Amino acid sequence: MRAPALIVENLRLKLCADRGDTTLLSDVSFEIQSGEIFGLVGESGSGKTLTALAIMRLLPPTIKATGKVIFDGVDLLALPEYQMRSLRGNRIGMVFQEPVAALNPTFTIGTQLICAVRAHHKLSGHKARERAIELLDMVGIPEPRSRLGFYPHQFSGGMCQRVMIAMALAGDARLLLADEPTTSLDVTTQDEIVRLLERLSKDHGISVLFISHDLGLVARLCHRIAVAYAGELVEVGHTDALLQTPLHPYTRGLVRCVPDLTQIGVLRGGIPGTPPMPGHWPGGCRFQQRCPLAGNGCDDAQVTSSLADRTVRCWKSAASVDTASIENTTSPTNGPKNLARNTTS
Amino acid sequence: MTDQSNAALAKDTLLDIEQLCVVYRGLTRRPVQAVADVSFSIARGSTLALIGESGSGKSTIARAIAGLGPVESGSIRIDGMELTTARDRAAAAGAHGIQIVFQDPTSALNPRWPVWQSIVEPRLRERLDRATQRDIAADYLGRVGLNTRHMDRLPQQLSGGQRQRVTIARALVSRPKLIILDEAVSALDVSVRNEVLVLLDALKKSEQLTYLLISHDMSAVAQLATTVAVLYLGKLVELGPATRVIGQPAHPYSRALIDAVPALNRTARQELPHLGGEIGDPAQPPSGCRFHPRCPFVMDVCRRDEPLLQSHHGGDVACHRAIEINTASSNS
Repeated sequence: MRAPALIVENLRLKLCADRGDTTLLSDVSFEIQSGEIFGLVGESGSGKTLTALAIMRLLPPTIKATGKVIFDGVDLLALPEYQMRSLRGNRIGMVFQEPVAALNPTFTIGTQLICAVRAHHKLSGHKARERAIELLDMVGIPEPRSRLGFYPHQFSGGMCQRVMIAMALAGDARLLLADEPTTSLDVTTQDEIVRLLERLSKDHGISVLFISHDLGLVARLCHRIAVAYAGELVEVGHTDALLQTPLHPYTRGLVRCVPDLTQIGVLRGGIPGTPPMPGHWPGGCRFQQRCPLAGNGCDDAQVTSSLADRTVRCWKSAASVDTASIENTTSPTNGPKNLARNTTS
Repeated sequence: MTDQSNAALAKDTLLDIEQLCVVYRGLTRRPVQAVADVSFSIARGSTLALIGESGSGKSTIARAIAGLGPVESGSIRIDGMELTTARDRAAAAGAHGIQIVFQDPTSALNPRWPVWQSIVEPRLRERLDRATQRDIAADYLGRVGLNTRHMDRLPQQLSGGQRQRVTIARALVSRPKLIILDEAVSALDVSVRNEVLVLLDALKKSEQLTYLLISHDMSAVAQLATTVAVLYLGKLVELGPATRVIGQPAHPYSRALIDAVPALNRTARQELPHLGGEIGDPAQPPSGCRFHPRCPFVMDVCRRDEPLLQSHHGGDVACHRAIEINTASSNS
């Protein structure tokens, strides 16, 4: 087994203000194998984007990060800023939600892409241009040579997102952080972008951290999934296992919310209530106010229990971890994600 | 239109749209025909969902019905009353019981007004006294699952889901017959979205409402819709009961659209070749079938002749090859 592309260990984020500190993220730990697409799901405010920004070290100075983010054997959180700059956008690329807003409307796609290429490689103008064309071709933009002269407004949202992905790959990216890259796009365009990410990870061995609030989408794309709730990860596991036997009550709620187009006219219902905001997290299990299983013992600090490839932060579900993972190794699941099991086993 | 759908139309139609055309004219660009000859009707108490990619004309139809956008030709009738000829179409739509709920509740509410004031705004001209107004607001807050605690809050003090509940309350306050939900749940988190869908379903029964649901979110459509209309580049390509259109879409575009949704379970059917390309430019729609440049089943006839809506398996489909394609895929 190769070394993981990224290891996040006990990542904690604290917002330091005059009124006191607020914890935004506590003890987030996960690993992404090389060539793996790793999904991070959760509702807004669960800390998904903060995790990505912390990995990229793009957080404002008022947010203090502790823990370890190990990429290529180096702890990114301990790197001096000038070394981080050589990694950011170079070995680690990032794609954001609003592709049209992320591009400068007054420059052509070519100018912006060539600029990104030359920021990471010492190339002549001509060579950089060739590289830009190659990148556009790689992300599936037809006639890349002529498209270099286009302005962002001449592109659709999906095409702009492809350009953003090309830019994120302009360096020598081994890891791509994709923060809700398809949220503002149509389902058909979303499908195209998802296929592109799949292809990049398969053909070029790029690892992807895919952040989304849509569990259905994450399940479609990712090999493994981490579920975030109120600043911590409540469950991590292989896609098939997680969907078939969700152990944490919150994951179960999310799985129930995934579209099921075979049931027409059936209301699926949500998880009542809203997630608590940072600073208002209850002691013990943070999901207890909304949890159907909440009872005695949920006020105590919740330890994560893990067995095989499954981690869950719920003491009531902890017992079922064993059985679930045994079932999982013996019975071949019929999902499309067979790759998921091969990457770590 | 077939005899069968005519019969259904006569039964108890609330909204009837016939041959609706919307053309946007600019000073410099050529006119854009955003909606072309769209006809459908919504039975009282049902939910019709309009689905399609962005640029297909979903919101244009919604705005035309609510009187907020232009209408080139065609007719929009609610309870038999023609709306397109009114001098002030927006006022006419409101007076005949059409309300609309938009996608973004934050921009739909006045940030400086407390919630109760926003809710009673549609009834301001009744010149009610303040206490009555507050009573009305409290009543409607209760109906949307909020309570009097929320009365004096400002929109920014509410969560996204609560804000959307407030805009729903505001739509309800003038006792509408039809509520247009223009991507009303799309901006919400999945769990909150499903909660709001439960609310909308309950309100439909308790307030005797009819919905026109406009959404790109197929999950919302599957949960609420009784009828589904699929639009492509301003044309209706498929219309039928939700179970049929979502369960067994007949038009290649509907199939591609529904197949693109990441969902857990699917009805097993032959996977379509992956749909490439993007929705075309409505200013220069393709000849013949507007979907032909992206269609995996394209033939010469598709490039030449525009297909008409024809009844097919309990719905209407506009595709030259619908029967052929669907028998082929059910056999294999």
